[in-house]
Amino acid sequence: MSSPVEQITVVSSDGDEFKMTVAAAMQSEQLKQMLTDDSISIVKVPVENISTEILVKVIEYCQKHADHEAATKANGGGASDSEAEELNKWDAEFMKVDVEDKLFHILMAANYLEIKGLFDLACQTVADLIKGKTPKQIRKIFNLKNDFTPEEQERLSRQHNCSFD
Amino acid sequence: MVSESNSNLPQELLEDILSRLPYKSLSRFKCVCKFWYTLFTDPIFRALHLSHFIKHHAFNDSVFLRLSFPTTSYGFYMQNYKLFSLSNNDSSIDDTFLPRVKLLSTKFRISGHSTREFKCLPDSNMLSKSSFALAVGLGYNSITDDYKVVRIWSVDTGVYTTNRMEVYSLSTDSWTRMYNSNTRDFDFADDCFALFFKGTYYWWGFRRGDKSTIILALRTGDEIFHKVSAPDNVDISKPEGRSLAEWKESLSLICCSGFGLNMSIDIWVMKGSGAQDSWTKMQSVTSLLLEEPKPLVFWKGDELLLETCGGEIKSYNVVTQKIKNLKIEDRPVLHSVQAVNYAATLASIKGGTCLT
Repeated sequence: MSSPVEQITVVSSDGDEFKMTVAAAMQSEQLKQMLTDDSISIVKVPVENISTEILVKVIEYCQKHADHEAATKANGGGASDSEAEELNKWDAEFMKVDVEDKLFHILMAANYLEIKGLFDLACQTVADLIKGKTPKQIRKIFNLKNDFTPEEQERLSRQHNCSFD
Repeated sequence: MVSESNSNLPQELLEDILSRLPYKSLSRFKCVCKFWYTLFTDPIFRALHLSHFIKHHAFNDSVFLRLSFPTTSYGFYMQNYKLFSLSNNDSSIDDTFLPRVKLLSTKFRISGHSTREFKCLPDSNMLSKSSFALAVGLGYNSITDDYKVVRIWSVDTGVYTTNRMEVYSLSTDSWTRMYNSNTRDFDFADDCFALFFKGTYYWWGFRRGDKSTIILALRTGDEIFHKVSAPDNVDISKPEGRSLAEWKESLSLICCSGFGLNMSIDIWVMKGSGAQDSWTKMQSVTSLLLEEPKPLVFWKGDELLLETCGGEIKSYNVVTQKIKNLKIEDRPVLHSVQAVNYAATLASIKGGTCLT
C-alpha cells in the first residue's frame, strides 16, 4: 500500500533535480500516465533530453496553470473573462525568451512531456515570430538550403511573384 | 557554423508551426526550399492548416467590395470594376484590382486572392448565339477542396425557349450538364446571385405565376431548386433594399422597410432547414437617419456594412448601434456595390493540386 504522492522529482539531462507538485505534473500527459498507474511507484523521473534551463521554464508553466485550474475549481466552475485574460497575458510574458533556440527547446520539451497548452502556445509563438520574415531569414532560422535550380527560381518568381530573398 | 539545435527541430513539429501561419506567409515561404513548396500543396497539411485557421478566424472577418461603374472608352460603353478588400485588422481599405468573381457577359473568371491567380473558365457547349446566361453562382466545398460554379442558361431552340443548367468543377476543369433541374418553374432576377453558404447557393428570383420575389436555394450536388419565401408581410422585391448574408453562422435576410428617413432595417435569421416558416426576426434597426441605405453583408461579427444613397460605405454595429464611416480612396462616383465575405485560401485556381 503506497502513501499518496504529493510531489515528484524530475531530473534534467544535466543531472539537476527539481521537485514538482502532483498538480503541476498532471499538466503533462506523460507524467500523468505515470502518476495514475498504480503499478508504477515513482520517485524520480529522468527527462533525458531536457536541460536544466528549459526544465525550469516548463515546471514554471505547469505550476502556474495547475494553480489557475485549482483556483477556477475553487470558484465553482468556469474562469471569468478577466481571469482568462490574465492567464493569457502571463503566457505571453512567459514566452518572451531572449533566444529563438530556447523557444524551440521549450517546444520540444512540451512535445516530449505532452503538455498540450504549452505545446500550442510555443507553436503559435514561433509561428508569430516567423510569419513576417523573408525566405532568406527563414532558411537561416531553420537551417534550410535553397535547393531550387536557377531556372526553377526564375520560373517561380515570374509565376507567383515571390521573392527568394 | 550552424547552431545544431535548430536543425534538431523534428519535422512534425516544424509542420505544426507552419500550419499556424497566415496564408500570406505561406505564399511567401513557398520559395524557401523544395520541401516546403511541396508541403504546402499536401492535402493533409492543408487540412491541418485549415483547421487552425477556422479555429482562430470568424468567417466574416474579411470582405470584398466590388464597385461596378460605367465608363466609356472610344465611344463604347463598358461596365468596369474596382475591387476593394476590407480586412479585420484595420478599417482602411486597400485596392487590389483583381476581381474575385468577374462576370463578363458569358465568360467567367475565378481568382484567388492570396495566390493572385485568376483563371478564365472554359466555354461550355451551351455557349451559342441563341443562348445567354441567366444566372451564375460560385461555391466552394471545403471537404473536397473544390470550387464549383453553377450556371443557368436561357436557350432558344428555335421552337421554344427553355432554361438549362450546368455545373463547373475546378478539379475536373469542365462543365457538366444537369438534366433534371426545375429551372422552368421560376425566373431569375438581374444580377441575382446572393450567397453561397454552408453548401447551398442562394439566388433572387420570381415565381412564374404572380411574379412575387422569392429566394432560390440549391444544395451542392442537387439539381432541384427550393423556393424560400420571405417572412410574412416582408417586402424583398427591391434589389436595393435587401441582402442575404451570413450572420453568426446562420443565414440572415436583411431588408429595409419604411420610407425616407423613417426607414428601418430588419434582420431576420433562418433557423432550421429553410422551410417557409423558419425565419425569426432578430433585430430591427431604426432611427439610422440614413436615407435609403442598402444593406450589404455582415463582417467582424456584429458589424453590418451599408451603402448610403450618396455612395458612401458605412459600418453599423448592431449591438452598440454605432456607425463608422469607411473611407475608400478613389471611389468611383456613380457605382453599384456588391459585397462578399471571403476567407483567404491556399487553393490553387489553376486546377489540380499543382501550384504552378
